[in-house]
Amino acid sequence: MTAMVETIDIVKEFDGLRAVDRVNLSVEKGEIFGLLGPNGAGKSTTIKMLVTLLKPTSGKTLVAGYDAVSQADEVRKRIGYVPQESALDARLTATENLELFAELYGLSKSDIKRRIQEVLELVELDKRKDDLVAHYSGGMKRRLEIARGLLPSPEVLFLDEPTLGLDPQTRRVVWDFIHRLQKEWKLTILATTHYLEEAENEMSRVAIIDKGRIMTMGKPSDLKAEYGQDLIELSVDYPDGIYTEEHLREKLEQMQMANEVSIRAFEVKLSVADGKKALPSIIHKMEDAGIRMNTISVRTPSLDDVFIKYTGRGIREEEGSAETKKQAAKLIGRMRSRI
Amino acid sequence: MVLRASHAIWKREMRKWRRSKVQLASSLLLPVLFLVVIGNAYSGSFSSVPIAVINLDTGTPAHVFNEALSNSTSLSIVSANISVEDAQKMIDDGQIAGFILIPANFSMSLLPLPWGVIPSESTKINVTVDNTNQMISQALAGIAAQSLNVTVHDSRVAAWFTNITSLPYRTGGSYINSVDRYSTGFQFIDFLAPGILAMTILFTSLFAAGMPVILDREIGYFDMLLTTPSKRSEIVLGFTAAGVTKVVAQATFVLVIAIILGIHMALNPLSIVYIFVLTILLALVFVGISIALSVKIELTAFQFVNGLINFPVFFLSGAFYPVESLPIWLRNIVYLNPMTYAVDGLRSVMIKGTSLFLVLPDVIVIAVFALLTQILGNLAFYLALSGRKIKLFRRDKPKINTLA
Repeated sequence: MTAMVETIDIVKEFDGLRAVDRVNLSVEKGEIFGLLGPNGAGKSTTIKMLVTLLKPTSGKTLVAGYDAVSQADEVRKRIGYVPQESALDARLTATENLELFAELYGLSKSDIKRRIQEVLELVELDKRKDDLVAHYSGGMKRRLEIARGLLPSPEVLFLDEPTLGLDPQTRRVVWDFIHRLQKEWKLTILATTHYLEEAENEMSRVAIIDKGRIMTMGKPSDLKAEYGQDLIELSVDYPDGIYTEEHLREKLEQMQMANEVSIRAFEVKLSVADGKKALPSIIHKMEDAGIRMNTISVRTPSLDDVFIKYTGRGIREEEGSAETKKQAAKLIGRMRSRI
Repeated sequence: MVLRASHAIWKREMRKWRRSKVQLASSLLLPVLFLVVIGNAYSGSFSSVPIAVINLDTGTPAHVFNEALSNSTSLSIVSANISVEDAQKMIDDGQIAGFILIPANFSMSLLPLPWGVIPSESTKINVTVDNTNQMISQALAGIAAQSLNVTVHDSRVAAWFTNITSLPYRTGGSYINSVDRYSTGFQFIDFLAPGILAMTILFTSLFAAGMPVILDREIGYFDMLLTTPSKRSEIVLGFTAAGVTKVVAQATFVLVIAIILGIHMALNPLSIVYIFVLTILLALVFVGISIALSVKIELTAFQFVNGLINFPVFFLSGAFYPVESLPIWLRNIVYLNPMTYAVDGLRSVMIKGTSLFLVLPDVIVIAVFALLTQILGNLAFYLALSGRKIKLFRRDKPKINTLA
């Protein structure tokens, strides 16, 4: 099947800073593809290259079969874009906002009114269509932006962090709606996100991106299966500092309870084939060894675990890192100074 | 600590100000500009004011006076010994600021009876001035009076006097008769009106066109516009047209107010059309500049740069200070300033009611400027969109380092 969206070794540099470093993506028609990564990973930059807002420093981008650089207008006719920051005219009504873009998308005059009504109904905003956008809530604004992205009946819809800043219920509504779009309209969708649950639950396939590079790509379940195993997480109690981390690791490995042992700050993660079965024996063995545990739990791996495996740190941790926050802010600043 | 919060906010504003290069630069430049322009403009002295001289007298004093006028650096004699009608026409056409008529009996009026004639109105030196330009017309009268003073103290006049009368030379009172070319009671405000209209166009164009673009840019709205298959040039045109519309609306408002306030204006249909054409063209000039700026500069810097442009463009255009009151090196800037031509054209049409044919050159000049700035604006747009920085200075290629 030919890919709907394809990038071949694309690179984007801003004044010597490489925001996107040889990214290869391939999105099939009709799938919901996710680009998962922490802030500053290069998600927005990548999407901007796909929607023809930025030119790659090198590499090729193909959307709906057209080259995004040399055939930009053809691409623009076939895509919808919902940006991360709200880009609506607060002093215009929903209808008026859509009217502008209907004209800009070149919809035929006779179609415009009908189409606007269609997309507004789709996002369930038709009752409020003549209200000023200034009076809309965050969720409504996001829905309006999605409606706008759908105006030209695109083949591909690009969403940059579509549920950022929305509460869980609204997020659910937005995603239910996106799924409906995919089913009813056979729309191909590419969305970026830094929410793990979103990537795990809503996407057909996910690419994990970090520092401008794709770490791994595939179906969420496959990625987790690749990670391999169930996780038993336990926190160890160290009375009087009997054990150092090194010492503890040796001991645990000796006990041969797990396939892999990972320790961080006395949080132990044991990778086992079947967590539910292994749990009772682990508890016994720990008691026999005299190692006291505070907590213990079993879980199936998440994409965060996959992320840690590839990058050595979790997405959640990543967000707190001062260094990457600085990088991310620098990038956003640089991108802004070019329209 | 007293006023702790105030101090904290002050500190914050100072920090931001220090770090904004554009703001700092314009804060420093503006007072310098101020000094240079106002300092030179308001020096009170004029140079090379264009006039015509009509000498109907053959006597020595007339000759000496004529010479004094020629020698005066404040004046530039453009034409001599033409007919009065021709001279009046030259004022109408804006070629001269006034003409000086030396009547046939002037010299005779300096002699006592029975050699000469009694000084009267008909023997006085007539200075006819373009009173739509009040500063110059007053200056002209003053300069003529000065030259006259020089003349009556000249040794040649004394010699001539004694020659004829064999009496010791005694200067009588001799005065200038100042005549307004346009005798319809002009006030300063009438003279200013075209300048005010032009100023409105200038100020509004710079703001109205670029501001929305910058605001759109800053919230990422621009990105959305660019993902559509519409032509970039069409987008720029849309913003330009909106800017021009706002300006024309405002200019119309100013005109209406002016009329209500009773400001003098020639108001026939043709001149109104002319005013509008000029307004639109001038608006295009500055809208083009505004859009070119808005593509590159951020909001606070935009306001400063606007102020920086506003000031010299307005003050160095003859709208307020006549060109002749500026030193030669500043005059060159004036002739390169589209405002100058706009103000000149507006003044001619609004006040003097000059034939449109004569002011056509003004329109053409501004049209050329408009074309240039529109091209500039579009170009800036394209360059910015293609992601290439508009480099003012060459910078060495930085080393490429990855994020890792």
